[in-house]
Amino acid sequence: MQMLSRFLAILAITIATPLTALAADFKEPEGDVLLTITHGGNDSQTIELDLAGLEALGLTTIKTSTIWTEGVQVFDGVELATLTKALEITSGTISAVALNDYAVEIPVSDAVEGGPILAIRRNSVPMSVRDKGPVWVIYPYDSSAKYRTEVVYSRSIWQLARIEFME
Amino acid sequence: MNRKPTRVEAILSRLSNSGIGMLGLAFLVGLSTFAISVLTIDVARDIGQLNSADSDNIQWSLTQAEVEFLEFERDAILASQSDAPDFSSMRREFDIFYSRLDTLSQSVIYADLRREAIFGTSLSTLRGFLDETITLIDGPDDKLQAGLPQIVKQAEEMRPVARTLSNSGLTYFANLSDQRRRSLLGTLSRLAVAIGLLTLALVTLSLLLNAVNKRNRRNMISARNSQDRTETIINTSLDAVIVTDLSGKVLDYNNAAETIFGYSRDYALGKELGELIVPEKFREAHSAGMERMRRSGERRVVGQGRVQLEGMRADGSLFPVELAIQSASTAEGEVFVAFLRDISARIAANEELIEARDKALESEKAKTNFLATMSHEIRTPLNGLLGSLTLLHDTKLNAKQSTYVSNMEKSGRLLMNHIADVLDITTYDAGKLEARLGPVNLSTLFEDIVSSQSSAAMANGSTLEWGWVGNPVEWIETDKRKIQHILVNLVGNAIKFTHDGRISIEAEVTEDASGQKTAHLRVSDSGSGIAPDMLDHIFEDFVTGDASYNRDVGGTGLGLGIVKRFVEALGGKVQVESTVGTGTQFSVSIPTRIVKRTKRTTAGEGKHQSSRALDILLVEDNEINQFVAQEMLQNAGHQVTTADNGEVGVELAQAHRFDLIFMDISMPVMDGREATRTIRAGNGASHAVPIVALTANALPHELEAFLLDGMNDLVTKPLSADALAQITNKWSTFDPMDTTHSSNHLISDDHFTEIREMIGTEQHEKLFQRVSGELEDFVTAHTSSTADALPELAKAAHKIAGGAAAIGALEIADRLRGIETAAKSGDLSNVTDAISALPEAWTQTMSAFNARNT
Repeated sequence: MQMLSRFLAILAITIATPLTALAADFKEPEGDVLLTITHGGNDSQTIELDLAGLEALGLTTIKTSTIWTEGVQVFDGVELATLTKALEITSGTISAVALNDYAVEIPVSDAVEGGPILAIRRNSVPMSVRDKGPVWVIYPYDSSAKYRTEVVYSRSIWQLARIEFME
Repeated sequence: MNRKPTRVEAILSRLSNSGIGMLGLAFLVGLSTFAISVLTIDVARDIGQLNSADSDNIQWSLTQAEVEFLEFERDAILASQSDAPDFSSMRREFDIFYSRLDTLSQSVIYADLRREAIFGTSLSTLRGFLDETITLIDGPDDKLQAGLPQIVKQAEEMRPVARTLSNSGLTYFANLSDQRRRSLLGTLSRLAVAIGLLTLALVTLSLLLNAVNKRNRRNMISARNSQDRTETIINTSLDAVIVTDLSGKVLDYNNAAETIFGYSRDYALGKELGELIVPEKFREAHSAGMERMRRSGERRVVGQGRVQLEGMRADGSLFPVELAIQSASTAEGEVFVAFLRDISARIAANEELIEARDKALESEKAKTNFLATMSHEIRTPLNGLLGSLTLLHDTKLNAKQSTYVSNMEKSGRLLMNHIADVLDITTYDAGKLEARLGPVNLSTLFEDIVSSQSSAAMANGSTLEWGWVGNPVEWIETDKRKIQHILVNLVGNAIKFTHDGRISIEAEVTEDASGQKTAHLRVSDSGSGIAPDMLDHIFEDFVTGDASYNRDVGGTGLGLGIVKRFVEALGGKVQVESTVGTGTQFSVSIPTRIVKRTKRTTAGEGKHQSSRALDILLVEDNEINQFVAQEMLQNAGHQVTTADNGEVGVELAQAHRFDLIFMDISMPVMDGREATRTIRAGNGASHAVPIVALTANALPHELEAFLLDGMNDLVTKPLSADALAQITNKWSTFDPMDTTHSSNHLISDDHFTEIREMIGTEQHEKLFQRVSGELEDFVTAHTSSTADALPELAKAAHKIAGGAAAIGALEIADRLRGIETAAKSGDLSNVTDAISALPEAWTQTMSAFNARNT
């Protein structure tokens, strides 16, 4: 019995270790929290990220026009794929909620390299709430017709505040 | 199969018949498909637009604008009511609303919406509010607090504007959505129409194809049936049917061909037709014909109907075939279809038929010949018998013997008449009965008949008389012997059936509108009459009266049959009317013409005795007839030499000059005709002597033949002393060597008397003077004639010869005819000589005339 208890304990530690390591990839917020990430289902964990925390994940640039703005814009942000990779999430949906409580579901399958980003800068300028900031989900609309659909437009949530990974 | 096609099927049938219909439908299908593609794209686009219009996002965004405004206003009111307010929430709501308006102002989605007046005004009003408020929001908290009442107040004013903004946007998009729905509906309608059209076209096309398919199947079945039928016909045909190609190779060969030619179908197929069925002797011609046809297309047999040829069987035997060839164009090129029929049986039957007919004709001829021969054979001894009886009659007999001889003679003559009847019928039925037309004096004829038949009538207690109806017309042209025979038969019948009555003969000559004369001879009696049911049959052969009369009167039953045949031979008709118990009338009508009287043929009783004694050669093979004739001639004072056949006759005529030769026709060794020709051809003593034929029954064409043989006259058996006397008298003066003429010949006694009786002495003399004048003129005009004038001279001589003959100046007439003949043959010197001799002859004729005149 004692032996079994110890084995289970070791197992539990072994499983818990990557999570700990993962959490270590995300910088603890020092400034205003821009985005709150929830993942892990029932045993959920929350990651809070400030601007530096987001930037620390590595930024990708997308040059594209949007239906909500005039002219081609340059957006910098964290690829959704980077986030899912970091969190080792390969399936399920992402529930994204904005400051104004607008909520939308984004399938994890959308999170591919060259896919949507969590934009934090527009034309090299951090985005205020008035400019649909601080975080705006941007797809590379101009790169492919598949990104110029109503569904994609609806997933392009701005003033993003929280995301939750769900099974 | 025979169902009447519906209207649709009829149209389909028409369409499928015309390539244009099919093509049109195919085009319609293509067009419809194209239209559907285009419309489908339209529909997809419209649906896409509808999607975006219906997008919750847009409507949500618009609604959200108002919501976000209201949240801002709520926060502002809360803040204004609080003593120590937290502005962060209010500020965030401001930012969110600001961002919303920013989006509505910039987004291309709302570009059209922004052009809407209400929306645009509302938007700029709200933006004005934001721009006015933003300095307070972005300013320090105390200033914001100070301005808060103002913000709340303004926000309250803005609230309806925010609502208007939201509502007008929603209304706009709702309208837009409606429009798009309508547009989609239109597109869908068009799509439906296009699909409908396509469906219709496809349905029609499928029906059409079905119809075509059906028809093809029907055609196929019908073609197969037709082929089956044709094959059946060909195979059951009794004629051989052989199909070849242009080279003559056999392509088909039916059952009958197997039977007729003896080759099996398997053997015959592929063989050359010529080698198969054409006999070797014709093979070259056949090949040449085929070659000619291939080269030049010339056809001598193909399509020319039925041709009769010789065919060859497998065993090499030849047989007659009837052949018909037709050419036909097929997919494999031109073929020839030959129909051949074995006509051996038909030809054999034909030959049999011809043979049978020939036999029948031969047998008919044999029968006729037999009858003719028999009657001749009977008549010859009968002639002998009758002749002997005549001679016996002239010997010294007592009264009883004389009666017996007389009875025997009567019986003999009756028998002779019956034989003559049979012979007449035979002659007529053999088609040899010909009319011998000549001038006939009807009055004389009637008189003769009445006088010869009166005694028979008297024996029955009846009277016999004759007379003219209308003007007497004595001389007509007809066949005397036949008329005589007709009358004798009719009168004989009348006498037979009339007891104690009256028999009358009437003669009448009528003329119709065209000038055609008809002689009517009527024989009426007051006898027993003929029953109506017998009337139709009395002209048939072997019909006699009823049994009771038959016993009474007897007869062969050929009498009226002969009458009918003779009347018909003369082109006339015979009719009978009869009432039982009252009498009978036979009416004969014969077409004729009136002629001038000719010389009288009657010879006075005993006149023949006056002619000079002649040296006569009698050529006759029948001993009795020879004996009878010899006796008769010798009794008349002539010297007779006899010969038993033609050859002996020729020898005698060669050696001795006779005055006259009687020549029997049918004789052994050499017949009379050949003997005559031999005598005339030779240069014997009697080569120019008159020859008279002795014949039992000479037909007109036979008479002509006799004359051509060189005979001069003819006497019919049985011989009678009278007939012989006439002939000897007639020819006693004939002497071809003698150029001098007796006064007897200068003027014909007969003519002299006849003409004088007819026209009177005065007229006769005038006529004589006229001929005299014409003759003098002729001699004057033509004494020194030239060859050029000969034709006219011949005409003039002919005319005067006619006149001279009419007045009985036979010598002059003969001379003139001689001149006419010489002139026609261009013999000018003879003509001149003869003309110079004319005046002297005329002087002699005139003196002879004057001698009689006194």
